[in-house]
Amino acid sequence: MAAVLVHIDLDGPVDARVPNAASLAALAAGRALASAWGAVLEAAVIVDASEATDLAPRLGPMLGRAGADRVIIATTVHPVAPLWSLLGAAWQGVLDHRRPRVVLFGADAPAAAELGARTGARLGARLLPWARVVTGDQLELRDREGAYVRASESGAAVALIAARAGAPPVTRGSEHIEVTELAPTADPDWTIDLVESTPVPLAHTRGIVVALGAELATDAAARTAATTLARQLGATFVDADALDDSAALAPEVLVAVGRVVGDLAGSASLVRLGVDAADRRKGDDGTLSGTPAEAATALSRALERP
Amino acid sequence: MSVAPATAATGPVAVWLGTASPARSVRWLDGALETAAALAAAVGKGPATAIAVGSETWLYLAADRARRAGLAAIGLATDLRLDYLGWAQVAAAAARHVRATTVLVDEASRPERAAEVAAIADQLGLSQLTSCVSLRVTSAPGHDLELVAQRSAGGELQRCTIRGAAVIGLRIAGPQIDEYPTPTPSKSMKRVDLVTLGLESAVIAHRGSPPRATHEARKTVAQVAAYLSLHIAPDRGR
Repeated sequence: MAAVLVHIDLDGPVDARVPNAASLAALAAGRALASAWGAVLEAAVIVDASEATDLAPRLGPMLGRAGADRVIIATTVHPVAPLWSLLGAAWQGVLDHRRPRVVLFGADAPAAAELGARTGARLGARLLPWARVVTGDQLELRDREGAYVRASESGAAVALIAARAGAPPVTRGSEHIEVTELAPTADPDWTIDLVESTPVPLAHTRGIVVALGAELATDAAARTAATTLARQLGATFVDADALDDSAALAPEVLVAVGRVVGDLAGSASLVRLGVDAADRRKGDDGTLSGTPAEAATALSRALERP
Repeated sequence: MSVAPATAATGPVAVWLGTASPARSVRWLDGALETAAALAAAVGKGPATAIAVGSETWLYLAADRARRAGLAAIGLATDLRLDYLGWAQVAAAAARHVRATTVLVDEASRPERAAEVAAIADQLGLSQLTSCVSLRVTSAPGHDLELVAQRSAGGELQRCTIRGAAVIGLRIAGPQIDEYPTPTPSKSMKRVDLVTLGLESAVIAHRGSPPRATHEARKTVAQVAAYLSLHIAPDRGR
């Protein structure tokens, strides 16, 4: 069976680079799949050519311990930043070299948004956003809308793996694994360049947002429940006092605790807490009835369970 | 920052509006159209062209919003159900049909649209930039046209330059709009079919996507928790 390939983003300064947490969740999912499907699990990292010699001896054992059977260090002449234009030539080299059956990215990993779908297009593969490993009659990858990939199916697949991947992290893999360095074969793409990157609270355009309805501004129980839920999800908390009817919201998911106003983009998922059965709408992805505080608290308790 | 040699020049602009009406607000549709109109005006190679595919009702809406933003429009009426790669083939063929070299994509109006940015770029053999929250033109005297995009990436805002042909995903909201008139059949939209675009339905059908079950909201605590747990930030996920 062809390999399961996992793209690994790196975090940290040059002298202390470590695999990104979301990438490690994808690697754990890949380990579960590869073991069940009888496939080799390969982890591929793209690094600046000038860093490869230093990084290879550290990354090999690190990713081996995390479950990889083989590590590919792909080098690039571009600065390493999560854009297809900068990483694409090196990544294309990996795909051409390995011809994987399944490619996994951490859904929250920096390069997933740019490389994930492009990888799918390169391979003519099915794409599963927000997927996890599901055990049943046979181990499979399943995304949030129910699309799945099994070993018995033909064709390539690309999946963006959720942080709670449904597979335990591997900590006792072998440190003594094959590490291959790969130079890019395609020409660099100079069309798009990254000028600067600035940390900013882009609560309205990415990630999960938990918003507390303005009518609950003085409801201590609802506020506590909403902030607790936001903390559990790693979400941004937004007081709906700060929003008005004209606010444009385009996060990945909006969790509305109570009545939240503003215009939500169609790409966003919407979960509403404290909703009467009669007030459920066509565009809701999830609703919970009861008071907003009760619904948020019940959800927090459920999320505490692994 | 790397030094960028000259690449293919920024050319006529098209904007891919997709295969169905916005799932919620039309603000992001309007935002993409306004961005395309402003970009086309700066590029100076004719008006931008809006491209829409799908049901007649959707095409009426797309044509109406495009006309209001000052764009030309082409539409393909079809009841095909395709995956992201299938629609990318149609979008890329339509972009070639109007000779566009800069293709914008409204990726905020529907969840399936984000993946189409990369797939269209791949079909056209172009570079891509996803999740742009602003896009403007800069051109220093004596230099080629350059686009500057701000891109939302996790907790960071990236500033990127684009020199040449590219596919750019937009998450830019237009002005707030309470209600808009019910669109009616429009003569302003030029109709095309698969043959005109150089596509064969039998080939495109290979990317057919089976209809999903009717969308049902999750209504129990366990269902909602399972859904949200997919989105838990990585440092909370272990």
